[in-house]
Amino acid sequence: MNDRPSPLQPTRRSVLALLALSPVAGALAGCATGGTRQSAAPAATPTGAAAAGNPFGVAQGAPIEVVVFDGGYGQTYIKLPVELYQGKHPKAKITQTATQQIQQSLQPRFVAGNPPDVVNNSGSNAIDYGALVKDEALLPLLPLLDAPSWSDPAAKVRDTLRPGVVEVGTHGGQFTVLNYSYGAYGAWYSSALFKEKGWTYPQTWDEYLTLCDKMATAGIAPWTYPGQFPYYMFWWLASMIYKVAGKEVIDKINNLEKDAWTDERAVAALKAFEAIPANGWVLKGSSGLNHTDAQMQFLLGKAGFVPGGSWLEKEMGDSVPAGFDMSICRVPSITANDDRPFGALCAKAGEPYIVPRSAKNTAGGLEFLRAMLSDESAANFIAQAGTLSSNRRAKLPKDAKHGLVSIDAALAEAGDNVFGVTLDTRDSRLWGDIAKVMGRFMNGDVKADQLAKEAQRLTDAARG
Amino acid sequence: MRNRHQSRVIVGFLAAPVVLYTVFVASPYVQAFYIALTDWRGLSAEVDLVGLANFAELSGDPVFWKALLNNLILLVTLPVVTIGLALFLAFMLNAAGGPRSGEIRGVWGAGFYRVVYFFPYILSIAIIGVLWTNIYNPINGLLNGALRAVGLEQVQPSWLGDERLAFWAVLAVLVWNGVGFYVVLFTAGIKAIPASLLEAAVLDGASRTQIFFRITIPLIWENVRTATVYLGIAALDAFAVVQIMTAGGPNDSTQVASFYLYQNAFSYGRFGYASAMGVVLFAVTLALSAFTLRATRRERIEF
Repeated sequence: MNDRPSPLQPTRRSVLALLALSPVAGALAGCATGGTRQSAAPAATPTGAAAAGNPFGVAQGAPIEVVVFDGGYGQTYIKLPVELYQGKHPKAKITQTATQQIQQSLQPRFVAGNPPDVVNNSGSNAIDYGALVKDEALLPLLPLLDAPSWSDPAAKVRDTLRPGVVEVGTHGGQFTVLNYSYGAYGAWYSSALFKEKGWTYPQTWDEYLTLCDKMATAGIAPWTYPGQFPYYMFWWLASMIYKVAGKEVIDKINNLEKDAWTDERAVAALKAFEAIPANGWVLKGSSGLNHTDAQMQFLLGKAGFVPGGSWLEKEMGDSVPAGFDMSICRVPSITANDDRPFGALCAKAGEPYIVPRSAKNTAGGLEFLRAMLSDESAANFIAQAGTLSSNRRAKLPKDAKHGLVSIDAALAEAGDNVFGVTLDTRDSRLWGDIAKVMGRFMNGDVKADQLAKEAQRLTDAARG
Repeated sequence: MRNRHQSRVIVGFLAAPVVLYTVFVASPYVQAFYIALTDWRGLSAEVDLVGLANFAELSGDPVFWKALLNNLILLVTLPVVTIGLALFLAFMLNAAGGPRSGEIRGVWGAGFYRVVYFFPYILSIAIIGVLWTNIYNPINGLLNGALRAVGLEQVQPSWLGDERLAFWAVLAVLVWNGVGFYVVLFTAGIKAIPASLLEAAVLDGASRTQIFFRITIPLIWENVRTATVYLGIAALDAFAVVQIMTAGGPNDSTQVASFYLYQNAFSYGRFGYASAMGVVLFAVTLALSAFTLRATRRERIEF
């Protein structure tokens, strides 16, 4: 920060010492601040000629280095795209490594100007995107979108992507981050339980409330939620708002605008849900549970619905009883003229991949991402990682779990009626503060219109 | 020459710790004062000076005030409850058994209790947090299970999920965690009291209560004073238990200044604002310790 050199009287010794140390000092300064910024290197320098089957003009024999984040999805899924790439470019030497310390191991290489060609910048030790964007360190991936799909030359890569992938990967007006996984958010129910009791999934909110009443009569609390982490309710409540009020209001919420939560259609959506806590349809004690406790109550059949996302099925692992058949919930129609049809869903791409602008083989980087987005690589990812891929055409494995299949089907039904919540990354403080109010909404201390007013007040204050 | 040689050795030994202390303790402290005047977000090397804006925002931040108030309540309740309980237990273990064969001793089984009371203190704070989170679990927890077992099915509080209860539930854990250590501390003090004094009191017909208040407490006052300072520090911190058990929730009812500071720095990326909080806490802590030392000063009793 304030490491300005103090005015020293130079002596012969100090000058010599400085001379001796200057490479060290340079390196240190480089680590901390990056020194003077070099002008951004030109985008995608093809070193070979672009041709059919080689859209980015990858030079034969140019080596390529790929660094994968070794997180919850593991790293075995990357073997197939490496093979595909090798098959098309047999002379290329491919180096693939994995680490959990992306930032620690790669930031110095960014500073030194020799980053890998493909980086899976993910996890809690990811390099901050704000800094990467500000330093223009990311290669725009537009050529990738317009290139033909690896599996089907007749289709562009763009057309194989699920909705929102480009939007969520766009920083500073340019598509620079390819998010490879794809997940849905909202709430879960057990198809097996519904079948056993002869219930059908409700299409309208009135039917939904009738169903909740039946559940309560059967001794099952309709809802539970993790009171210790009330933000779990955010996605479901946002889904209800999206269903009634549409993308316009969701965008306002994500962008911290005024009249977002207090939009009367948003309030109507929250009012509809208010019946759940008001009727005592929340499992007693939920307010003191964490997420795994709440999910456990759901799996034990003590509660009918639990908030959560794609990860829940994998997170609970062997705790999911055989034949439980969990399914993702879709928001029933709330008013007579909801903005979005039945099936609208909260879903977003994750697991970011980037090509550094200063990488040696940027064309190869783009080509590798194209290999990753091939139908077979994406299907392999789904099988290995247990979550969906950004490629909408990828097939699910035969032994795919019920929850995953239900998300895939729900996404197919939703089509383009899909939205993402981005407030969590946009302003984590505001996200948490609104979630606190949602917690109070769930235990009945706060009513729907108060929740809307308070969320709006917090939003306005955060916008400044 | 010898003196010079000596001082060299001394400097040689002192240099390393002084350098380490300066680099890793003193300099971050000093830097915090500077960072408190900036809008640093913890990532870039560039910062903007914002003057006292962080402090102005702090003065109007309801969560910070709530956190500080909770710390103050802890500051009063934690030492009073812990020391009160520890004194009582230490007295029972060491001097409440009455004279037997001319010796003052504790109640029957005192040795066993002494070990049991000390157990919580040797557990890691993380284990304590997780343990009690499970005990407080409103559905599967031990506590509500016990309530059900005695027929109180209707009384099933959501201990850590209820804004009115969560704070006191956390306080109870802090007391449970600390009391064993102070029992040992006070035991040492009581053991140091000459047996003749206690015997004389018994011979003069003093009751247990009188012995406790008139003899024991005045003679171990130094230990009590030390305990107050330690517990005061613990009350101003309370970070670990809050982070593990409630994360400040529900609705900030268990929020404490140290955890709110941490959230601002590491969750919200507001190092400047968090540093300003640190500066305020520094002033509060300093003032409170000066006050405590002054308020508990008494004449030392020689025996």
